[in-house]
Amino acid sequence: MKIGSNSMDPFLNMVNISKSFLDVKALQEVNLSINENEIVGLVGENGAGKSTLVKILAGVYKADQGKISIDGKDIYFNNPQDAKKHGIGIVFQEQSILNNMTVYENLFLGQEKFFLNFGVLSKERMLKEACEILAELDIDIVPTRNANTLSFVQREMIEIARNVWLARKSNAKVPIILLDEPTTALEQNDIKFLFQKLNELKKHTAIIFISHRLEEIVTLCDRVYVLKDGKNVGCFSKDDISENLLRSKMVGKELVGEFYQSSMQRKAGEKVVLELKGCFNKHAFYDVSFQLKEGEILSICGTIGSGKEALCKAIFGITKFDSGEVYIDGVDVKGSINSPMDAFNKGIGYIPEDRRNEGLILNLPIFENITLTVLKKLKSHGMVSRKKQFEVTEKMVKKIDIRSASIAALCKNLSGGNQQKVVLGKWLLSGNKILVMSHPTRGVDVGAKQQIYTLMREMVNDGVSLITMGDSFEEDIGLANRIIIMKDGKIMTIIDANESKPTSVDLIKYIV
Amino acid sequence: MIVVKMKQDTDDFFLKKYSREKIALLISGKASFIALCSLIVIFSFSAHNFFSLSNLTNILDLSAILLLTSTAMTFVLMLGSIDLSVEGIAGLTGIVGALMVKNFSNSNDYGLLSIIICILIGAIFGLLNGIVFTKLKIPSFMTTLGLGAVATGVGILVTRGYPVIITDQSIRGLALTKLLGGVIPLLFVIAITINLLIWFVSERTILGRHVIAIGGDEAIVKDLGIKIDLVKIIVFAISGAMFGLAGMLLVARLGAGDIKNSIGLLFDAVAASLIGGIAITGGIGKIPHAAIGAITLTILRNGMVLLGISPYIQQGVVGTIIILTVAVTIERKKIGVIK
Repeated sequence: MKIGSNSMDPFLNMVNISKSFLDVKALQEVNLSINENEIVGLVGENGAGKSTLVKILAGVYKADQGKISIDGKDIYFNNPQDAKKHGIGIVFQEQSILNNMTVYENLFLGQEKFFLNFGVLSKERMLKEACEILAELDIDIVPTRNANTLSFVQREMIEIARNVWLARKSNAKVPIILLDEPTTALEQNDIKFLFQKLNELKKHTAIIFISHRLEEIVTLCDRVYVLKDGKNVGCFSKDDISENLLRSKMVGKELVGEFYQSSMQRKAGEKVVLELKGCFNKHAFYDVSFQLKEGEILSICGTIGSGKEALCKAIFGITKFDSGEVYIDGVDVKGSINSPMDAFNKGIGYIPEDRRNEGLILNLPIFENITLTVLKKLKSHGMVSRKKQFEVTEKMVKKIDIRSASIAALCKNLSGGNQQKVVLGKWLLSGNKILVMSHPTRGVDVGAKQQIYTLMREMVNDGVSLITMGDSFEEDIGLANRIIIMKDGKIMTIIDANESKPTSVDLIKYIV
Repeated sequence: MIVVKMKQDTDDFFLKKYSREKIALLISGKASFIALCSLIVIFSFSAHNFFSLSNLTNILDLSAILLLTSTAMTFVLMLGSIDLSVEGIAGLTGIVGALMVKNFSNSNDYGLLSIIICILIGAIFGLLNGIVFTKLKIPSFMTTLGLGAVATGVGILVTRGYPVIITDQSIRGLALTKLLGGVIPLLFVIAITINLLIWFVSERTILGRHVIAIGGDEAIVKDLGIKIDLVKIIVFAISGAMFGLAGMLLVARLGAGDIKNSIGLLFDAVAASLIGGIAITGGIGKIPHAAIGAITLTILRNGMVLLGISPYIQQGVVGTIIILTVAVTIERKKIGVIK
């Protein structure tokens, strides 16, 4: 890094940034720089310091040490507003679009002062500017639309537009957009769309992109910084990046090939635990028939709208089958599964995609969450025995390696990976033999992903059968014994992955 | 072929359901208005003197003070908070106001100045509500309930519980004057003007938009650098001021300042706001809906009186109808989680 030489200085430069929270050193002398018209990737495991670093850049946190300069001038932020004045805007993972307001109101939220005529808001001017900025960034959304009708990716576009607009208003030379895991909740098509937009946007901005999905980083970014334990462990330019390289740098050891624990894959048993015959749901899928064998991992692939989500929900009784037959252990259960409770009693479990809202009770501690399905078994003298709850939880926490200071820690304070382990632990305890998993590793870092894969393998060894919808084709291929491919509500084919694994291309040809 | 067939199926599905969806869409946001119209129709046919000019005047008159309090309540509810101090503040300001104008208890004669004092006292209590709520981080529900009780307590202390009968004709005139040939009560004009003013504030000022935004999602709004506490304090001050005014207007109508004047205001204000279709979780609803809610509730009470329904069961009927109306009007889809 050349500091001091004028012409070659990067546009934005963060030098020797350090930050501690109490005794934990979140960042130690980290450097990051970015130029105009560049997309810089930032990867690292959870806790590696990525979020802390971008939050410092966005003015949310103050660095203990180090300096930030833009265009050669040192700058200091006291709050996010200061950062915004320099054109730095962050698009948070949790999103900051208000559902009860329109698109244009969301665009200018907090900046209404630009639209005052003698103290009165001029909605006309707001609309005009909204149209202009949306047109300029080629975002095809009507500004008067209610934000609650927007898709996830559209909301992200609005947030990006908000930041670009604000950077302009503040006379910043180049808007710097920080994207904190923008693709976590997106489907393949939307990701493609977002990337296309980001590549267009690059022409007049600088973008910092954080993602857990390394294949995205590889395709999108011009340069990638890897953080580990709060330190720089490398910066690679586009030509050098590969997924395996990043993965090994992030974890600090090679895990190539064995990432999905394929060697642990076992052959499915002969017994059919779940069978669907000609199942039909008028909203979502048609004539779906398949068998799930004991100890099998069955992946369901398909784009959004392929009916896979609805199918999984129907198996767990959240939505219903309009017709068709369902057998569990050879017994016809059609008509007797009308709710998740019924499905649970028949031995089916469900791990929802949105674990923060549906999978966990965030305000309850780990032990309450983990024992939720087995409280009946933990009774003594008619009351739930806290002692038994603790015992059972301690055992499970040890078994599946949930990392937390105490089993009484609230679930909302756990990392994504640990939260998912709590959900898995809950179903492990329940003893249910069929588990439907919707995106089990979504938003989980690489290390924890691998642990979850291992856990899934172990569950299968114990005779549990899994139906899973993975986050990527690679995950589906890596994990599954068989892969069901759905398109437009129908099963296109079922690929056997027992002997030899198919490639992504094999799957895609059925989907498009 | 399969795709075409499927598309047809889905189209059929939407067509079949379209009628119901369409109705739901039509109703959403207008349900309170529809409820009001149907009540008018029902009472027009069942109670023979309901649909008359004099009864219309009567209804507008009766709804005026409720309109004021429900407007304030709706504004606070939009924020996602609630202000339960209405009875306390209105009771106290009524007493203070009554003691300031010509009355039987002392020789004061401050006339219309007393109204400004009442509004100020209300605003001060509202300010306190807002400050305690935001700075001590006590839920608005508890804060306003508590400070409302304090206001009631002060009111009782001042008069030892006795009513203060007023003789001031300018104040009484507020409640007795009817405009436009004796059809439109002045009270109603005052109340609806304030309602429209608050509507304007909520739609066309930064404060108003931030109220809606905070009601939508406070955490997001905070990240955008909006001064949430300030917005909340201002809103509570405004609602307090309006409750203060309501207290004095009650005195004008009843001819006496009494801590018991304001009993029932709280239930009606919350009920009218909810009938108007506001989400108790905040961020949804429009200020004029408070007016619709207030008039609906008044018509309901008025109609039952005209029908000769026993007062012993009227309150039960009102309660039931409120639940039913809210069940129809509340826009559950927009609210998400109902607590």
